[in-house]
Amino acid sequence: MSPAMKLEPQGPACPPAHSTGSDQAIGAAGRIAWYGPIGAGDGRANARWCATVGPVLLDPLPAARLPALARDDSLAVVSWNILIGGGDLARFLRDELGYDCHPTSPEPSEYASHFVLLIQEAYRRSEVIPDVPESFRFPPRIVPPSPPEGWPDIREIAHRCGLALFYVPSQRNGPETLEGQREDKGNAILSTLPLRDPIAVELPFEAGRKVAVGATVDGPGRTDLRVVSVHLDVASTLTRTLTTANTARLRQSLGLLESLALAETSGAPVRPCGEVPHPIATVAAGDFNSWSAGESALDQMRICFPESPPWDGKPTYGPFPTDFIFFRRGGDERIEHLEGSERRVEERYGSDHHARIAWLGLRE
Amino acid sequence: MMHARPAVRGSIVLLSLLLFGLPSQADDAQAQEPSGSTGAAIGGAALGLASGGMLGVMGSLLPCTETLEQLTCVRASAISGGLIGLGSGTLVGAWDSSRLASAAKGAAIGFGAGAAVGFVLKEVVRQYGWLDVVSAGAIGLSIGAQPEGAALGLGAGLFVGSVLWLAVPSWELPDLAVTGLLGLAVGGVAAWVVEAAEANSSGGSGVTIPFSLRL
Repeated sequence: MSPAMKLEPQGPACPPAHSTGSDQAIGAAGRIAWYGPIGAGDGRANARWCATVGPVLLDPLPAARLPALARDDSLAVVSWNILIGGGDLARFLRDELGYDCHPTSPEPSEYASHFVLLIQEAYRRSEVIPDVPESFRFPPRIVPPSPPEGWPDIREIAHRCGLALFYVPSQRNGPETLEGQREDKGNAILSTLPLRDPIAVELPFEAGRKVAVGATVDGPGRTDLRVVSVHLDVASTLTRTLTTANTARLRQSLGLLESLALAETSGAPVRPCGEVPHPIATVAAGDFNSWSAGESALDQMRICFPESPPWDGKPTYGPFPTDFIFFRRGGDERIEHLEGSERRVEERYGSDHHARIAWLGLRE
Repeated sequence: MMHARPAVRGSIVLLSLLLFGLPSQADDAQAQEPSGSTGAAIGGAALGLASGGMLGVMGSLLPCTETLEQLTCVRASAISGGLIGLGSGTLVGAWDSSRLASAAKGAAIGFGAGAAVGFVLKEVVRQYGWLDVVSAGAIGLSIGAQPEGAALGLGAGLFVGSVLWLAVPSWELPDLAVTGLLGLAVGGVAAWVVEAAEANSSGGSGVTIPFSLRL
């Protein structure tokens, strides 16, 4: 039942990807590699939704001046659904990672390390998001409880904290136009390390367009590390649920895995995980919207990411275990997930999800 | 994988059969003796297949989500439920068409109730369309054909799930939905078997059924 995926050389059938960063930054990052499902039905639905959102944001070089990652340093990887800006990222960074935000000169504490944030439900407010006829049935606008100063969007957060940013909107956050601006939402990567080789994966379409985003960073020991932020659908339509055996999330996770394999093999035929060596260490994390930790979509991820930290039994969204961090060393035996380091962050910082954190380091 | 158009056509055919075909046969049957006919057997087969198959899907959706062979698992359950329903429905129709008329009436009411719920969902849930209204009707049909068995099964499933939730630390609250739906499906399909056995009994075969699901 694996949904066949393909590289989309021309990008998705929606506004062309472009960067808000400098030309130099764009050149350093290279262009984004897009992947999407081969199925015509998936493609049409994704294209229809894609036309309602604004362009990709890619600012691959962090403005914050920090010491380079030393050989013995570990790297923190965070996965967090921030509820359309409801999660207070600045406070999270200060309290959990010891990083005080500043556009260029943050003051990391003694115990702070470099980090990569894999964000779901990031949002952007902008006038460049297209106005679309009301006949399009938009997802309703999600409005989190307001902090006094309002909700900074993902671009503003990246700027305030001097972080590299890769944001790919997947759908609108409501049809409203507010003071001439509209909102879209999607997955993002924020990092204290430069982002290279950005990829975007349009997942097989179920109830709404979902785009996983990935990039490569210099991991511990200067190893290449691919990081991917994922958000799967909650549920499909009732008819699809009945006629496809509730395989919405399994189908999307298989689509993601196949696209990652395509990215690793430069488009060569993909074989099942375990039969091929993966050339690059990878972390794929996010909100899988799973109702049980034993869901097939998660089991499929575990098969392909055999060095993943075990689940600690703690739910992250109400009673549901929705958020996970998966890891595989790939061909690089030097990097590893530091045993026992993965945990749920107990405070939600204004989001409706708990974040998860794991640390990666060099093997002894 | 089922496609949209066949699903709609199938639902329309089945609904037409339920609304216009079976009741008239049942009226004929009730006017005479509690006996069946070839036509009623065919109608029973169709109703049993639809009801049992849908119950098989519903009962397996969540448990099968925890297997890597998710699609195969649900298909196997749907085929099993459908075959049991097909066989039982055929026998019910062949032996006692008045029982089949009762099941068909319940199925029609169930379809209407399910479609009404589906319509409300369509207005509330963004991605839902008319096809989902039909699907909700089909779920209602499958339950409505054997409401007592489905209700008993649901109750038993929720009870077992509650006990497990209290007793087993790793048992999660969402697992209650699993046992509930599983119970509903097993109860509904089992009720078809009991219905067939009772139809045989009432048809004068001499077989005495030691219990009844009629409340």
